Amino acid sequence: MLTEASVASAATKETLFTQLYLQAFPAVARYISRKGGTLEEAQDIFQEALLVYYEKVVIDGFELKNSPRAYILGIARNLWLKAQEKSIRTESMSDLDFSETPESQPVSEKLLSFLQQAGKKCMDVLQSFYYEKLSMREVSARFGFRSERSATVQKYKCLEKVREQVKAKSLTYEDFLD
Amino acid sequence: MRTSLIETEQIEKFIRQEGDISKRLFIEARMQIDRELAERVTIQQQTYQLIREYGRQQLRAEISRVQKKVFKDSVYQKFQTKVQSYFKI
Repeated sequence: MLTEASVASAATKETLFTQLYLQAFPAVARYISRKGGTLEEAQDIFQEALLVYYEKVVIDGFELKNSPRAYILGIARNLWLKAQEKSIRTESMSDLDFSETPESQPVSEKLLSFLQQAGKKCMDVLQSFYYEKLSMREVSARFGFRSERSATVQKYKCLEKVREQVKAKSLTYEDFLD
Repeated sequence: MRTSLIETEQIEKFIRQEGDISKRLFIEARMQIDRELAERVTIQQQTYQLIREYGRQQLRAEISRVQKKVFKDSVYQKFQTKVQSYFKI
């Protein structure tokens, strides 16, 4: 199991994801193929399942009762069933003039380029604290700040900078959905 | 820390319901009379949502890189053959 500190390393993430592909992808692929899905669909579902795994297990520290493989297969099954239900609903409602908003839509490239105007380092500092939930000590270590205090000051400077950009453009999350 | 950063920190604590309650109540009271502050609070909330989405997008990109590697690199030939066998007609 990953420790909190190891969340900080990109190399560790790569190792973790590689292991999970090797351990869990074949089971997911077999399931999706039996349900009539394609390899591309299996890959898309697996990517989302890994994202859920990372958020729940690594970031939130959820303790698994079963193996990572069993957990990921469970998530993938749910994602597949949801996707199927959605496509059935969409077909049966094809005469109606609306489309359902998915629970989690991928955001467009616009978001990335907009946010990176604030500076990649700023965005990386902010996401490591607010998304990956690292402590300020870990944020300091990852980005080489002299102290937790200077990391905290930098975090607020970055937050203010991004906030001002959002205000200037009057943009919200919804503006970035495809 | 400069004044605006202190306010940004106080807004954060107000949004996340952390720290000294009297400071949070002070922000809440000021929001009633200071429309610009109320707007900063709203935008700061939206900013957190965008930052989380940015984090997810970074993670998706890392996962995609690994996927590309395990499906292209000959080191993982055995894995590739096994997976492809499930999709043969």
